[in-house]
Amino acid sequence: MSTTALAVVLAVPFALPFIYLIVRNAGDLSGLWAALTDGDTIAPAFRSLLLGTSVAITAGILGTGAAWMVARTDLWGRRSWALLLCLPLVMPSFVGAVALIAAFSPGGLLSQLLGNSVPLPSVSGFWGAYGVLTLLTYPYVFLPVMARLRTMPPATEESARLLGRRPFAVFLTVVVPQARAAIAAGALLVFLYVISDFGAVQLLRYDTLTRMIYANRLLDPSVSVALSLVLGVMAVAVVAFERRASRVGLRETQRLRTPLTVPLGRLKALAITLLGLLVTLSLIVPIGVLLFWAIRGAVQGNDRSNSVINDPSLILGPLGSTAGVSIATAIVAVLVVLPIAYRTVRRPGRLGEAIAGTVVGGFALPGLVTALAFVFWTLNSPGPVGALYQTLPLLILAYLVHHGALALGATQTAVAAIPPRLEDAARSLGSNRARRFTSVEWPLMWPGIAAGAGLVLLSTMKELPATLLLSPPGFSTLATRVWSAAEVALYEDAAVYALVLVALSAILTWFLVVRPALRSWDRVASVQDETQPEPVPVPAEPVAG
Amino acid sequence: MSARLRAAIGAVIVSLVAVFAFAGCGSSSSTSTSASGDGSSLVVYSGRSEEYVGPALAAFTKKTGVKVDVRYGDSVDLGLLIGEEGDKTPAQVYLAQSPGPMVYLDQSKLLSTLPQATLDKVPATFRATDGTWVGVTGRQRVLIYNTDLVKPGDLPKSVFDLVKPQYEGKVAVAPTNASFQDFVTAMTQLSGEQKTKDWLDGLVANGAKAYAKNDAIADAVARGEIAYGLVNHYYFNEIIEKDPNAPVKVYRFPGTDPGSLFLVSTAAIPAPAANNADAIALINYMLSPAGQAVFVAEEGEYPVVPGVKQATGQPSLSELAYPSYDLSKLTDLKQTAKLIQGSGIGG
Repeated sequence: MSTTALAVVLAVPFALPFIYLIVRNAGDLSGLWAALTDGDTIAPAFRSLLLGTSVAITAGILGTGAAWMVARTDLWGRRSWALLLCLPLVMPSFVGAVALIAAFSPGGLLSQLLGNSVPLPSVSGFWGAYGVLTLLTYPYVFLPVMARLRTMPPATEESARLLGRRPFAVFLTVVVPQARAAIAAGALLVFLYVISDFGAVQLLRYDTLTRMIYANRLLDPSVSVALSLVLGVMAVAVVAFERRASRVGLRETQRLRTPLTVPLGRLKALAITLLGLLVTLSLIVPIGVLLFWAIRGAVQGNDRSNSVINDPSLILGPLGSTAGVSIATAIVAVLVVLPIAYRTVRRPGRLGEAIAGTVVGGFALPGLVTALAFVFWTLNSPGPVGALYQTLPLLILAYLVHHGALALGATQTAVAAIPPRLEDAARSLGSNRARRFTSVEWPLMWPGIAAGAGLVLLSTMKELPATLLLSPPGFSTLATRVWSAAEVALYEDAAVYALVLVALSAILTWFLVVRPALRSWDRVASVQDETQPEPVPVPAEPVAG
Repeated sequence: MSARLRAAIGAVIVSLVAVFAFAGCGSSSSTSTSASGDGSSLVVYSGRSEEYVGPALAAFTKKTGVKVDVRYGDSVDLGLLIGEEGDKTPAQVYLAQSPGPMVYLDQSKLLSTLPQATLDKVPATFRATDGTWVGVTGRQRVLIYNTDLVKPGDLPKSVFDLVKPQYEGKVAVAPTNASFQDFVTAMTQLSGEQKTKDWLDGLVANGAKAYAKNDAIADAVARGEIAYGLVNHYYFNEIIEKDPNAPVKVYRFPGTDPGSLFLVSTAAIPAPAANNADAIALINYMLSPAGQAVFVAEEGEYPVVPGVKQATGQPSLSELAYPSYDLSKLTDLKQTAKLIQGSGIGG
């Protein structure tokens, strides 16, 4: 099968939620028309755009800055920082929102701790949603940009430094432009996540399109379906725009040598303070609140036999399921996305853009819509497909479609980082396709692919709507346990499950993403030095998520 | 091929095998459950939390030997799921927080009629007039207040008083909460649409604060962030469980004020499982004194079966004053949504 055919076939599942929405809307065009022309739709749509854009810009800045400090400077404990900076992603947004509300509200934990006189930021409306979502989503930028920076050639940077530029100026004028595609792809993911988020905007009371979709889903389903389509179209438009924008003037030059490490000197203390502040707000405060609830619950005790406080073994089932499905989804996502990335990067064009746009757009639909779409497609399919209903393969497929976008951007960046010249060299030395892939391409791509897989892994671990509707009967994950306990205000149970979720994600991220990536970065350096001693700039294809 | 790469490929293969083995046993176990029509295992969609419903279902299995497979989720989402599944739904019993999702499914003809004997266990106002769903437990709309911020003399005589100037900026509501929406629907029918609309608009004009959920209101009242909150009665129990010294008290509007509406959680049997003996047995069990006692103990909810003992510290159902309102009239949710959205109270 040609790469094109393979990529098209692999992209088909990603189109299913969109087709479902079109089918649903076709049944009730008057509902779609009413929703589109209703003035009440404009304001929430505008708020979705405003929130998505603001958070994407802020998370883009935070994620890029953090990635540069971790990947390219002589900061202490870079692996630990790399891990800590990834973890906020695993915090379900409703948990992050609940924890931050509990911490920052008037009369909340921080004002009890600091006294009522200390002014605290507001945690509702736009600013609350903006703050919470920024803190929970910057890893979408951090992880892929860090991977990109580790494989980026140091030539221009070296020259700039030799010419006397300060580290920060080098960062702005040399590093950022070269990592632009990765930054834009990450910021796009943030945008799409934010416009599809329901947990945080609901709790923090900011009226976006998703809140209207949820508020109407039973009262007036036709409105919900119409608004979901509006959201999807909005996402596809933004994806197309981003791809066009990041294409302009983008020529990533490649040179293959060990990435440069910038000595921070006296700025080291400042860098550590900044990263420390980011980690404190995005990870330590929520974890602190969770610990407070868990410890208070354990001290007070309760008489519920099905409380995890009384029976810690209740954790084991959800723990195994969470690890199993998230690892499975991450692996499947890489296998599915890699051919798509090859096709779209090596042969850019309209078809490639359509395929990539379909994959990425799926991330902007609320998980509930994706889940219901798969209910529709599975139950309306004949025998063998219908039999997959509410089984693990279907659940993993739904995860894949919802989260495939997370792997695609990073994988495209990784594929683009392989200079064709290197491949030509390997070919002329008599390497066949398989050997070129395993010995040349894979080692070069691995950091980027690991970053993409990591994003899928962490996002799948916290996924809720598809898990609740599509999992096999009796299946529960740590995220569903957190949700279930929090629904009935049993915060001590919710906190224990959430802490285990964070711990599990830390372990998996460390072993599957951070450690192999850092190890292979060293490998990349040696492979590169061996294979191409002469520094020759090679234009690469533009990359975008 | 380097040793390290070989190890990496090996690791991927091993994890793939593990994953597919894992997926395999998951799907084989679910195939056995989807073939549960023989009565060996009952599929329940529960919009009520495992923390509360789990003990009642476990007690049912212990008593009858019928294995239960439960899908827990949000009431509304599970209602939408059954709506999407239609006549292919594997659900044999559906439990929801409120009548709303039942009314939605009933309108699409996706629910079966329950046996008269089951329906007759609860008073007529707590079940569908067409017999498609039945109330399982009850909850009352109440006003909770922070005793540091409110003197007993300040308390309103009626829920309609909350739009008066002395309550400006002091009242919390959860407009997207299903119980609040049911309460507004009932108010429309009990007191008229215009009066309801004026009340909602009045709340907005009076600076009432919208919260996402009832428990967010409960926490905010306990913290002293706001003085009053309109919630379901058991949120008061939750506050006291978390902190026995919380400065919060519960107040019931006197007489048949719409603010004291009595609501029920619900159970139904989807159409494809009509007359399934195990499904009927489960609903009957939940309406038996033993089943009701579990809910009363776990959640502090009211029993809906006359004669079942009430949780300690709460008035019994017969002592309770509430408007007499037929819950199967909670149909015009679209109209309610328009009223709430039109008022701009958000939430």
